[in-house]
Amino acid sequence: MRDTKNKISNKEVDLSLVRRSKKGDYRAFDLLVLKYQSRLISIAFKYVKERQLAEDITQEAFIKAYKSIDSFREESSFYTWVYRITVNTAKNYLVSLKRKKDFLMSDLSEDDSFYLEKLDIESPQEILKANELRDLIFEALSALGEETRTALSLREFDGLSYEQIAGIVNCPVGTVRSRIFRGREIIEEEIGKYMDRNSIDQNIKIS
Amino acid sequence: MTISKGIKEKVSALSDGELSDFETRRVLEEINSNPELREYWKKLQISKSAFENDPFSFVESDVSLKVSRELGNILNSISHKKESFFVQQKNYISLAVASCLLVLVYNFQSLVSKTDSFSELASQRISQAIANPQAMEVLNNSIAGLNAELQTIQSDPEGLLRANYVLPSSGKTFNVSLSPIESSSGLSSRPASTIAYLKTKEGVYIISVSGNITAEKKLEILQNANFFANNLNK
Repeated sequence: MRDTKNKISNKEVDLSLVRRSKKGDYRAFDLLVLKYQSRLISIAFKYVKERQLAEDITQEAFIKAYKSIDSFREESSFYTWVYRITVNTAKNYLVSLKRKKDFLMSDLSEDDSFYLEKLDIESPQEILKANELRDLIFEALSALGEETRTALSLREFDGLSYEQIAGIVNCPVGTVRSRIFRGREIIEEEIGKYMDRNSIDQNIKIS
Repeated sequence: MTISKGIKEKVSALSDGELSDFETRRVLEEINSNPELREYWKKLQISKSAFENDPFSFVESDVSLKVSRELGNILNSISHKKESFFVQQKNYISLAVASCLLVLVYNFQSLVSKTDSFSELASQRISQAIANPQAMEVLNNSIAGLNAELQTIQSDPEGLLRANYVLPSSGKTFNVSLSPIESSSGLSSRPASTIAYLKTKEGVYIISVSGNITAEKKLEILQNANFFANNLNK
């Protein structure tokens, strides 16, 4: 088992799922898909400007990633790796449509591509929705009881392990785990309400 | 499906890398069989993205099932609410594999009495099947693109036919086998991604891939059999 005294990075959490995927455990890869799909669709959207196409490109990128998972050498994070695959897939799509010359940033280096991610060229509607959801999550966090909020904040913002948090707040590791879970449950409830509401809004627009 | 707080708490801990390997394996199984837990995992990632100030739009989009289907993971045990489409795909592959195997069966049947059962046919005509160019073609095509070499073909009195292969580049070995379900008790416990079931009037049969190769390659073999069966039927 890993050393819980160190901070647990997101990269480390992903790598444990990647290693399972390499052993043929698709369930682990499925969790990585669920984890990163929205982010990657957002990246693909910046290239193709169309939601359905962005989803198709992301889907293809994940398929390529799984098929070549053995070649992922774990030098970068899984997200960086699958990000590059997504960008390349999107670029290839544009090339195939003979639209490459209209594309201003065709020769992205790895650093450039991360810069691109920060660019504000998403759909305005998606930006609004994302901001609304982000505000809602932070409101839910601030409404948590102090003990729960402290445990969750130390985990999410400082990346501390449960053991480190237990040391700081002076309680058993199991209690920390429960507090973090309790906080997340409340936030999850708010996300669920938001998604239901959003889904209803979309249905109204469609009808 | 109702999920216990205990298992949700473990999913939460998994997202923080706080589970042991054993617990992780158990929780992955639970998530895989429970759509609510998959949804919980997804929402967990949304909140994490918010806290890490990562970009997170398109949260309603979900390509995971399409990815899973495209990767040929259609025989797994996810009992997802959105699974009806998934189940159709599973049936499609099973039927395609069935078609492939029926081609073999018909080849066998042309050589023996119609009153014989499939298992009898298989066991009695293994040598003919091996010698039959079309049967060998099916086997060869199932491993297309893998650069595998056929080492041996085995059969047993219960109707099992097994082709053993080796990958010269790595030395890894694997086998593709076909057997009536009554003689395949050990196979039913294998991962679903490495087996396919065949239903005929005479009973249920299993085609399976096992050995020292990745799950992806095993799925590729089943998909090759499916693809080749479709071509044969044209």
